[in-house]
Amino acid sequence: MPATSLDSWQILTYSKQAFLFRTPPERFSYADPHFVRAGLPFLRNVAGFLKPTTCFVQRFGHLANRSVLDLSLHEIKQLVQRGELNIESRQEIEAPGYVMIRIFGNSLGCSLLMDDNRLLCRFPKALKQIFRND
Amino acid sequence: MNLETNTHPFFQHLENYQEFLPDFRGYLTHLKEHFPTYLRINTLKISVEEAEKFLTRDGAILRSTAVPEIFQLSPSCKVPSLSYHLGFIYPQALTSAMPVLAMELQGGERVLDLCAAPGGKTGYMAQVMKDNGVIVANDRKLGRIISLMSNLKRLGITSAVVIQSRGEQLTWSHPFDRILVDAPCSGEGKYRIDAETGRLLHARRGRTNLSAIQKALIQRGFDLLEPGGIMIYSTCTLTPEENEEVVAHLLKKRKAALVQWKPPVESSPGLEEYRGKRYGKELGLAHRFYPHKVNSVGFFLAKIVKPK
Repeated sequence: MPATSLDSWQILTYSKQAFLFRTPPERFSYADPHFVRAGLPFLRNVAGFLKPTTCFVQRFGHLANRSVLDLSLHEIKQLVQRGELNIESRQEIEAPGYVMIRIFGNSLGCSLLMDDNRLLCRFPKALKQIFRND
Repeated sequence: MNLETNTHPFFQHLENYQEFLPDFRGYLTHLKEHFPTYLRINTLKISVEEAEKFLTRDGAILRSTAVPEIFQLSPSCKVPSLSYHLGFIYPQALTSAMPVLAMELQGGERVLDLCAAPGGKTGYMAQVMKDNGVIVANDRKLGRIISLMSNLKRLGITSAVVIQSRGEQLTWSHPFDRILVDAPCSGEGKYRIDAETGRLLHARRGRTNLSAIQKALIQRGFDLLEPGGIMIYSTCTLTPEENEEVVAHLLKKRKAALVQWKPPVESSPGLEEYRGKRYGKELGLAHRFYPHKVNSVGFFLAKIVKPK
């Protein structure tokens, strides 16, 4: 996504996660005994790699300009039901790694593209459930 | 309807409500009907036009309402699951949008939602403010905080700070421009009667002194308000003890004033007196939304200002 896309937000790091928070016009303290969370979960560390959270992808995914894969409903059902999907190499994907999956132009979440063109489903359980039941 | 057959206190109250409920018979008939499902479009993620297309593809049949971003779902349809999980929609009663609309929020403001869980109104506030500003969303119970965080995450909100505290004792370093006190209540506005068994549905049971909690919450909320700021007190109940009496208590204890507001759906004025208790003329500026008049959950709201 363009480098300036998130300029209006601050990135806060706590609880081993990064959160995106609208620039606060006032201070609040993490040390406040009442404090639970601020902002939207943004990135988390998965096996040494930073993975964008599903909620971040669903809100800001439309700004992504690479590593985006548009799949049909049928392909997404296959991905969820089998846990993986073989895809032919696509121009829009530069390298293996996490890719953003879109359906009908809307960002759904991330999956992991392997060197051998296998796409591994990395959707949260609740999202998988929709395509399993469908 | 035989009101003697059910022992819930609501049935005792109900006979007294004839005093103020317009078209009481219509209300009794409506009590046996199911409420329609309303869906709020989360415009932080999708425009109303795009959402209508997406929802139709997801199997929904929609009807527009007096609030442009809220639609009534056809009774034959379930809440569309993909749209829900993508955070495009939030199922929310039409009347529960009224407190947020009455706040007349602007981007960049400091806002407190004192009893925020499960987050429907917090999410709507963020939407109205275009996710710009700070919304402090408080609730008391951890279980409710978890559902609040889950909804804020699903709706993609970045401007909320979630805190866990007893609302009556909350302290904060800065005063707020806008406060919502959507107080815990007996929930009579949601009550329905099973047409076959005559059993009361969605009824709250318990002996909590709700009126005392509500009085403490409204007073605390007012103390946290910036001079010139606006506070909304709302409940989803019909009983004057949890509505007008609570606001009258604040007016007695603090230098607060009620202000006028014109809601987009039909409402009746607040009660100035009930069963020998005088609440005062000012309470006529509050709003009562009756289920049979708006075909949604019954609500009460008062718009309160703290003079500069």
